[in-house]
Amino acid sequence: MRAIEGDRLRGHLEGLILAALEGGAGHGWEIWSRLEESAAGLLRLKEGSLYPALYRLERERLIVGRWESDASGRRGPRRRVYRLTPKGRRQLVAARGEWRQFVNVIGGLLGAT
Amino acid sequence: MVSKLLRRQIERVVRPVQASPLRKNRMREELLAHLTRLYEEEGDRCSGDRDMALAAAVARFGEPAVLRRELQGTVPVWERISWRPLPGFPRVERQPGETITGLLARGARWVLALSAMTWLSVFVVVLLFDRPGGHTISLLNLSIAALAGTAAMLAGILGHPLVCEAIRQEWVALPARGSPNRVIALVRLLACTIVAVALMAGLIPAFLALINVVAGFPIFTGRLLWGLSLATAAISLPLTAVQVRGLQQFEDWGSLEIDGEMVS
Repeated sequence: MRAIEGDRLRGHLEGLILAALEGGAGHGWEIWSRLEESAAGLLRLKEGSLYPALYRLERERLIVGRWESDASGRRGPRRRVYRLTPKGRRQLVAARGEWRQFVNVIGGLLGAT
Repeated sequence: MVSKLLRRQIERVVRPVQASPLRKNRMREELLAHLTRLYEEEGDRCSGDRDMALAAAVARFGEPAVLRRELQGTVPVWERISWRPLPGFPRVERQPGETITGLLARGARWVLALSAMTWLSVFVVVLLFDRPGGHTISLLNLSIAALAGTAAMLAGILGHPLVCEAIRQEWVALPARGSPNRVIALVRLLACTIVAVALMAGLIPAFLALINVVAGFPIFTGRLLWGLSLATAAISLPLTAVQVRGLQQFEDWGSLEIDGEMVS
């Protein structure tokens, strides 16, 4: 199966992040790892692009972030942990509905469903 | 050394972004955490070859120019405009490689120019409105106030960052708990903090006292001046902390050369 490249993926990244956070809060690295694992390594997006998407989602109040507490005992730069807000959960449900409709319509046209 | 290389990569992305320092520092910290993890992962894959690991980590992370555009797009328009450098105005922030004394020497010119303009204006007003036989402001008192006011401004505005730099260096070099030198270091740190707070706390009351001198009689009472000193001291402690943090941010990020430089 061919990998899904940056430009095709970029428009859906925010929805993917919401889905990755549905299972629980996580910082950028964890979110990326969940996406990679779910996609079985077929996502080809530069990892730094995750953060602009996270900032957009936070600005729209779909997710909320807070700095990891120092008590974790970890050394190195601080990480920001994000979680879904209720608005984010509603948006995720809406995004799933839109995607199913997209797949049905386009898939029907292509003869792929 | 590796930390500096990673920071330089992040700074290539973040420094040109037009946003508030708070937002940019957040970007720096988050991106650095991710890039550090990438580097560690690639280091394991490349059997410890530092250069290969760095190149692989940077490749996975993304092109600085692309990331910069994406990050810029997340900054609200009003913030972008507020933090855009004004064309034709000299940059006031500290430049990479510039020492704190160099920055203050640059700042001193502006402080002196501003002070000279202010006091000249006051002189002109006094001369224009001075009436024979009426109550006049003594030009001698005004001259004393101008010189003393300028000296106070220089001491406060320029002296405070110097003392904050001393605080930062003491903090960074603070011996670990249990070390025999820790108590002495803490006393030095406390002394510097008191000086910094006193410099800021004394500024406003000093100016008000100078107004008393100019007027020739005490417009502002001693009790009021003391009260203001205490109030200003309460504000100057957190302001000092902010300035020290800003100086450390410069050491971590702002001092990195990023334009057209080979990563070494």
